[in-house]
Amino acid sequence: MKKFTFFLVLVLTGIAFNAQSQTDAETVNFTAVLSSVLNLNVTGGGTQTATFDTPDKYNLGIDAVGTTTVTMEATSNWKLEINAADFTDGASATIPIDNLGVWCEATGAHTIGAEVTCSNTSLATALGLSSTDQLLLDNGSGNSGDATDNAFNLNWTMGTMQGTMNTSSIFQQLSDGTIANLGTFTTTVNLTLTALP
Amino acid sequence: MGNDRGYILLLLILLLSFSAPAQETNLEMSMEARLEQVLILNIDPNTKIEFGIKKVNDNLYEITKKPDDINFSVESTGNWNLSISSANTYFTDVTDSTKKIPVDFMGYTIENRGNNWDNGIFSHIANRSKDTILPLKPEKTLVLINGRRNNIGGHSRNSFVLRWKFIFEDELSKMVEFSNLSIQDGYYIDGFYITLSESKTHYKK
Repeated sequence: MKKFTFFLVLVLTGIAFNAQSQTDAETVNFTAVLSSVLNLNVTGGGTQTATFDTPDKYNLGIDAVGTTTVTMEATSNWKLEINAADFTDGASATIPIDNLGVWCEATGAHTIGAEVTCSNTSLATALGLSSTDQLLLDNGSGNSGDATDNAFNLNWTMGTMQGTMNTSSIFQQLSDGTIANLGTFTTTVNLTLTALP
Repeated sequence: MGNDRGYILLLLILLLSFSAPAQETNLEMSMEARLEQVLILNIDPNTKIEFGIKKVNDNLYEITKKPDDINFSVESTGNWNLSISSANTYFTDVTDSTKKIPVDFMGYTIENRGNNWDNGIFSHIANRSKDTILPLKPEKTLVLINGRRNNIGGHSRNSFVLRWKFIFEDELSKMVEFSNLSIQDGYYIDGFYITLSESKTHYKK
């Protein structure tokens, strides 16, 4: 009986000892992937119309055709370029695209002259469009950020002969035959947002 | 050998990463320009031809009031023609309607003050009154027409002065006809029309 008791004590002690020292370890691997993001959004004014119906508009142009609002979301610094082909009436008549001008205003947290640079910040310094890409907005002190940082107004003007725009009035271009006839002319403006290295 | 393959693969990855185009996103917008027709004559609508005349003796008349020159301008997106005509066949005295003078007693010239040249059919405008006084008539007389260079434009390009001239000022032979009119002293008045119309011809580059 003593032997059995001794054996039982040994077994129980062993079980208790074994239960205390048993452990298990697993590893959870956590990976955070920060992919680059580059979004350009037109939030308003994606279609614009300039109507010339008075002598003053033909002589002096239209200061404020309308405004397109854009935002950029970018994990890196960026630049915005712009181009468009000549206006066409669908037949043979065209309007040179440099009659269309654009200038910028910052409405987000990033401001022009600090995080962003732009050479065209007023009607007087409007950028006359061309068929090849021209720089409209560029990186200043670091322009990566979300839509609340990078919000801009693109203000359109036409026939005003400002900045780098065509220096002849629409009247003059009708008179010298550059614009062959009246009518409705259309074009597509291309905005290109590029991530900077 | 295995290491060499690894280095080549790494090099390829590096080369590809350098030559890959910058990440960019594009967006398109629609722009429309509507060029609508404009054809406008800018002139004081109340303007009339008024003059005063007084007989000194059988062969001599004094002009007591010369008709005023009239400034006007044209603004047009197309080529245009301009005609002048009188409202009536006669000038009528303002106080006595029985006193009348035929309207061709008066003539006119149009002086160009704009940037569109009026040097004939090969310039912007052919001005038929440039070198002569045209007699005023109840029928329309075509005075300004577009030349090969187009007369499209605003007021700075198409600005004019209409100058009334007594027809005998230009040609002394008309004095005889003038003396036959038995003109009485008075202050005479008549209206006139300037008719602006779009021309069908448009010269292109």
